[in-house]
Amino acid sequence: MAPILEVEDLKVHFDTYEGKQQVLNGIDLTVNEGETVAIVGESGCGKSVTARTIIGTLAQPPGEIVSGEVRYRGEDLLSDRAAAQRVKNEEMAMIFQDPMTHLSPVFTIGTMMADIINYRGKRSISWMRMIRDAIGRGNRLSAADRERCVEMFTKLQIPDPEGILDRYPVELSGGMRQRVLIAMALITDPDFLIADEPTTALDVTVQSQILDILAERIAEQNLSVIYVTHNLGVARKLADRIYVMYAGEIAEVATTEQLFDQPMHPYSIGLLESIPKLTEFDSEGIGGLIPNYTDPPSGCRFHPRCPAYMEGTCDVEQVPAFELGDGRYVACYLYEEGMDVETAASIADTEVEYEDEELEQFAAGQTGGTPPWEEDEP
Amino acid sequence: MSEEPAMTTPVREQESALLEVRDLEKYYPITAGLFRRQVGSVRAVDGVSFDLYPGETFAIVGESGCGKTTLAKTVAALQEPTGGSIVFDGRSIGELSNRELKPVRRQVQVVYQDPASSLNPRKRIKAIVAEPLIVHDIGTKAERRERVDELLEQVDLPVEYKYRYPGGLSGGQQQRVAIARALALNPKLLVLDEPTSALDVSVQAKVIKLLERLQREYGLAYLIITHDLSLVKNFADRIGVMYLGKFMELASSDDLFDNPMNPYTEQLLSAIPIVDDEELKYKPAEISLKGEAPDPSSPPSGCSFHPRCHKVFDACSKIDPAFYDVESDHHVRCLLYDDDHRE
Repeated sequence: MAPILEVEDLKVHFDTYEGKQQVLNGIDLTVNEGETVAIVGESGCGKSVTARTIIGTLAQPPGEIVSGEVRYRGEDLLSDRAAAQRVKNEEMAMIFQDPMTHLSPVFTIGTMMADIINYRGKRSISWMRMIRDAIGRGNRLSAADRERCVEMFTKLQIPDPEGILDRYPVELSGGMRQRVLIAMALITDPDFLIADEPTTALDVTVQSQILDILAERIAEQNLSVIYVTHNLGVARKLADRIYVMYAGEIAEVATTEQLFDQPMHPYSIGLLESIPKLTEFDSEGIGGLIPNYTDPPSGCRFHPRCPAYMEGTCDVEQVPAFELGDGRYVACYLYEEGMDVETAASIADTEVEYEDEELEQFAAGQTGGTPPWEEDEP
Repeated sequence: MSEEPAMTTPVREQESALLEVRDLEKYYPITAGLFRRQVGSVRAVDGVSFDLYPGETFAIVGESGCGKTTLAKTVAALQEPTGGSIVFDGRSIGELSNRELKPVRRQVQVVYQDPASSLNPRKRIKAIVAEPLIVHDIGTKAERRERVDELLEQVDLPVEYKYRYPGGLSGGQQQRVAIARALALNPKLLVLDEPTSALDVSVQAKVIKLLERLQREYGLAYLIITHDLSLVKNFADRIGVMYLGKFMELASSDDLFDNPMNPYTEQLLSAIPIVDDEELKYKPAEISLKGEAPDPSSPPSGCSFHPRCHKVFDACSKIDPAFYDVESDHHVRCLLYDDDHRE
């Protein structure tokens, strides 16, 4: 499989009153042709920033791309503006989390579909068109386009696909709005789709329906997908490969099977343990907070919360991503380059153990000084 | 924490219920026209009954718009029910005046979903936690200060945090403050309205651990409202599954997951995205889901779930099923369990 998108050493900073926030700290990411890649992490870890930088909607300022490359089929989108514009207009599409903020409340679904079909990728329109638009006759769906929309709505299992074109977003339920948003992204037949938490605002039964539909679309249109989510269960359902992200760094890359079978990075292990399961739920969670980006911890950004923290090793230099056998990567000094998976798995089993002792001791007043979670306090 | 005894379901026979809810109804009027004439009603809570025993955790699970938050607010006496009765600790809440309600309110405290909006951003943590004490006129100033320190310690927050504003805390810490405030009056019942849905999973685990510990230490009863079945599987003793204002199934949490009887519960279970193959044993066989919750102002005829149900038959659209007691303490609202109508 040839890579369709390669992100290399992407660094994005944000200017704020508190100083320069070093949000993305060297992201490497590859999406192969026809592959679904999930970026998983907790809120504030930079997953949406990554998605927005790739599709070129990062607000600049306050955002600033300090270094890195985003190559789409070999073209660097960050340096070549023309290519970026073309790729964004013709080959990429994005689905957002909250349909209500991304659908206009004052236009019908049909008008918005017409906007996309008629104007997407066009940088100028003719005078005639402008006049026709101004007197309200211009922006309509042609009969053929109408058919196309109805066909797409039918594929997304929207009831009454014909009638929905004349309705406003407020008249639709949450699940239907999200389906419309997906239809808008897919109607132009993109090759590459970025989905930023598209099911987070929905109920589980609706989420499950949307995921099924999305999976069907991905397979049928042979889409390459970046799926951003905080929900590991959703990622497991949809993704081929998963990038676990923590505080602007990629902690671990593995295929979905590998990750759920044996997570390696202490953060992935803690994250997986923290998820309430039907079988059992007896997790301590992960102590501490996501670090402050203006003054991030030295070395591995996870070290202040890590149960396997090695003083003098973890807090010195940024951890490179070590490749283990089977093509998975993990950015943690517990492992070494080229280590085979069994050895790594036994290390993960023995070294990484989440306990609550520190916190309990502190609560009981046995330790002095700063509590363990104080260190990262913004 | 391991040396402490495991949480057990209280023995029912020896104790009387802390909270008895019978046929509770909360209808909201829909008005129209110049004179605000009532043209209909939204049946947010429509005939709900359950008991809650001291030290027990009762979970209400349902999708958005099913009336679970309305139920919580009505139980916490923040809203007046339009029908039915709530008996808390032997006193019928509906018959009490506002003045007589005050001591009851001390016993029932609420923790809301979003700590960022339930904590006053312009007050320091110490003022927020002390507020219930001031409202109920408990203790002197010095005693209140002492109590605030004690409460913060109980929820694992450093005492120095009392000088901060809510904005200076993370989401998990804010929720701890909200829990500390709820504990200030030594309540018997905590109503937890989606206490962790605004939090990340690693923080959620910590808050749930804290709630379990507090329950062990103080014998609190919890009424937890949530949409997350996997969260309450091991947290709650009994679970009520709610749909359009009614309980569809009510059972102990083990029974509910081992043997889900209502098709709606099956659908909810099958929709949970799981992270571990072992969880599959709790998932029913593949069900194709369809539709969304209907508008509560005009619910479907017969069983309110029948348009989405995968086991629907003719009678479902005509007859409103009763709440059948199928096994001991396992209630189901479904015609499949009615011998007269089943096909």
